[in-house]
Amino acid sequence: MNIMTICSLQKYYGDNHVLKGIDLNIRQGESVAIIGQSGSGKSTLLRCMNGLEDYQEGWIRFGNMLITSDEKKAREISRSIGMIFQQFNLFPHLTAAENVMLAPRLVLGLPEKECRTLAEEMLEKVGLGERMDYYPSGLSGGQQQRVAIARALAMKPRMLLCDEITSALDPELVGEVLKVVEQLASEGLSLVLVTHEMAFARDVANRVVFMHKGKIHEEGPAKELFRHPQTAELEQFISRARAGL
Amino acid sequence: MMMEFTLWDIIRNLLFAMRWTLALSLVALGGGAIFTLVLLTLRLTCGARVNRAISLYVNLFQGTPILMQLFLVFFAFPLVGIEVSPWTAASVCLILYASAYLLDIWYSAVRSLPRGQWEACRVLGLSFPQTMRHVVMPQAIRLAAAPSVGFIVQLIKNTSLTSVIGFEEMTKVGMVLTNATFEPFKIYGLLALGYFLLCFPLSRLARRLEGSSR
Amino acid sequence: MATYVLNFQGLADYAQHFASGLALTAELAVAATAGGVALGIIGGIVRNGRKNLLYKIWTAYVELFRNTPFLVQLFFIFFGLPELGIHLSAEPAALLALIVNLGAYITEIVRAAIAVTPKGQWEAARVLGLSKWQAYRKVVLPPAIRKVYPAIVGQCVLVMLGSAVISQISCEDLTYAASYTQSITFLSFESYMAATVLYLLLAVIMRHAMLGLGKVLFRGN
Repeated sequence: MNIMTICSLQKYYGDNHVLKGIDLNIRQGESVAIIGQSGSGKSTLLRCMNGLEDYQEGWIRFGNMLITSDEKKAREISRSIGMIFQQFNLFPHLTAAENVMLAPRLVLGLPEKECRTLAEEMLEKVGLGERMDYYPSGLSGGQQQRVAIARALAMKPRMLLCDEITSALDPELVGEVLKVVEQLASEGLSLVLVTHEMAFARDVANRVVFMHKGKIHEEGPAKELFRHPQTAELEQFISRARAGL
Repeated sequence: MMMEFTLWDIIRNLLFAMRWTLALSLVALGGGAIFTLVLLTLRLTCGARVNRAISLYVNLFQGTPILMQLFLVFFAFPLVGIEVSPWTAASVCLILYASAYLLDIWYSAVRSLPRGQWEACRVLGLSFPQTMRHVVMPQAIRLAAAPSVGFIVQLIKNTSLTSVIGFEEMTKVGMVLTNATFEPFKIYGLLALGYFLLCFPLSRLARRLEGSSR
Repeated sequence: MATYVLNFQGLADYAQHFASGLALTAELAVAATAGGVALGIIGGIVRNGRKNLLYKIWTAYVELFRNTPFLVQLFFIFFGLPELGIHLSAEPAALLALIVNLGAYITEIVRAAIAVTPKGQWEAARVLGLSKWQAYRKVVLPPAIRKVYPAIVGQCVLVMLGSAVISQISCEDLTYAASYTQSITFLSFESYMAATVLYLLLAVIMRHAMLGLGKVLFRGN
């Protein structure tokens, strides 16, 4: 069953044609990795999926909800689709627990006590039960990103978008974040990840989408795609990524 | 006949008048803060036309003497058939004046937050008022604290200009006392001391806040 | 409710007063800017130097003038100083008040700019054999002042606008012209409106002229 359907999506920034007709389905419980060079439109596509960016043509459907960038839709979308950012975007004036509790309290209207329990549960899940009352400035980058994951999970999303969530981290901290994401994938949460971590895309994602110049250039089951790239562009991209690693 | 004023008489009169300096400062600050919040909300939510109108207002009040603003407000009311006291004219004028400066300070504090903070609020589903109240304001207040306190010093000093339209605050009373005693050196010295005692601690506070926000 | 039609034609006969008032305001602004900026640069150096008596006096001066109203400073100089035997007529008193007031603010602006000069700049000047004064003049001050020049311009414009109160000691400036005109014509709102527009114009011209001057002064670095 498809959880999200994207149909002939077109996006322009002024004269710049960024997305040139994207068709993509995300199935329930599937994890999809989007790879490609910077400027290929992969982050833009991800940001269209929860209405952070608008688009000019085509449509995106999530269940029976049409995803648009309309401010009024943001609240409805936030109840089903979570997002984690490259720069964490934690609220620096709130503790880890308060960061996690904020949206359940304000958006879902849960009572304070329930929110606290929820925050405990979520931070425990990402391995930060001990750090509940730390401010973001007192946490490492990897810990901050795990708090951001807990914050997104507290809204009980049906789908989670991850926008280069390890790119701002020191190499030795990448593992702890990816481990959490891997666990979420194995629990059956629908995931869409824009990532530079090829090994991670290969091992965790069910399906990999390779974007090139605003189009989906190639897609397929992760292991298959990496082993037998069909196009010269993907082959080149993979060998460059290997050389870089 | 020249009246005899002891030093204590002068100080007592100045202290009494200082209450009006303080009252006017507080009204201008409180009213100005409320008006600034309204303008700030408009600036953040409305389109280009509203923004242009607001920045015209800011430029007009920052580009003209406060003394002129006081005269214009004072003489504008009678034009539409309303007689106002110096107190009312001074309050209205200083509220408008304070907002023109506070808006600049607060808006740039809000704008200096990273875009990711707004995006995080959005993907979590927070409404605009919730975003402002729980995420933007707590952070912006820290950034805006030092320049805001610094501006309060300017505001207090500028209440002295309302003496010109006849509002009986500290400077006006100083002028009256001088006319009665012919001791300008002593009285204007004490008057300066009075303002200094109000303003200096605030200036120090502003500097401390500036140091801690860095 | 009474409807009132604004009557700016009634001011026409007093254009001469407005013109000469505007001229005095502009002249004082130029003189105050020159004096105040010079005083402020000296102050910025003093406030970065050793904490001797001069440093302490200058600090007290800055704090005193930044924390009291200009109007009170003006009254003190014009009405109070004669008690010490220092008699100034209205215009010199006004100019003195404007200069010392501006000088206090510029001191703080320049002090802060000098304070953030990288240590390496001082060391480079020193190993090249420059004296302290040469280091200030050739190495430290040009980039420091360039960096805070917009703030200096802003402060000078503010002081020009603040000069409106010198009409209170009978200086025949722009505000004085407006007050004089309204006392005869009873066109209060129109008179002050005209003066306000002229102040606004003067502020815009002064800002652009000073920023233009800055471009000439700081070209090449």
